[in-house]
Amino acid sequence: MQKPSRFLLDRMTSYAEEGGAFLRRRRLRSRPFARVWREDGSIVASERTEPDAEQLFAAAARLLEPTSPD
Amino acid sequence: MITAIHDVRPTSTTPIFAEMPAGSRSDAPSAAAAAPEQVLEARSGLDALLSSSAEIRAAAVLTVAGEQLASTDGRNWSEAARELWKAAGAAGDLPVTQIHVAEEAGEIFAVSDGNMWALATTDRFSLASLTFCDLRALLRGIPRVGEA
Repeated sequence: MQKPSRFLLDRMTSYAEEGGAFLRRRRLRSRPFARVWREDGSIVASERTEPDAEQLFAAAARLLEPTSPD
Repeated sequence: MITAIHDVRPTSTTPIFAEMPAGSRSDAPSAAAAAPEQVLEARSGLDALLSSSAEIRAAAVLTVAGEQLASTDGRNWSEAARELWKAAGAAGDLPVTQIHVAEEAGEIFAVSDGNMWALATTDRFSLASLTFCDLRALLRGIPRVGEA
């Protein structure tokens, strides 16, 4: 029979792993990005550092600025 | 005597929808060219969208030509929106159907059904699929010209 302490340790480790995964996902998601869907179902993803996406981010910033909570 | 009001939408929210005065600016869009039913449905749809989605800060409906039908914050979205889909469409030949841009300050979603664009600015980390779903539902509720 498994010791009760083992079960607790296992449980706590699982929670810690889930927490770490959540933070990793959030860190990745917090980077600015843009996605564009086309009629054929294709999706083009770009980051702000890409030169082609500069105009897209500039236009998005113009739309976002007036509604920003700051 | 008790008077019950059965209107589910508070009348106080109505003034947040700005009438875009025709000719107030040379490049300002006016709702005059759009069918009145479309403007009405756009306003009503935006009202419902804003009351149902806590993450949405502001939203607007425009025609594909950039003519603004309604917005929730009273500003002119058309110029910046036109820039957005011009920049999004620059990389390919096929028409753009959806745009999602996430910045530190928030996120912007745009959906097109071929005739109209629905745009929304949201808080950071909002649920993209649900926001797109809400915007598509908003566009479906607006009658097309000639159908109304």
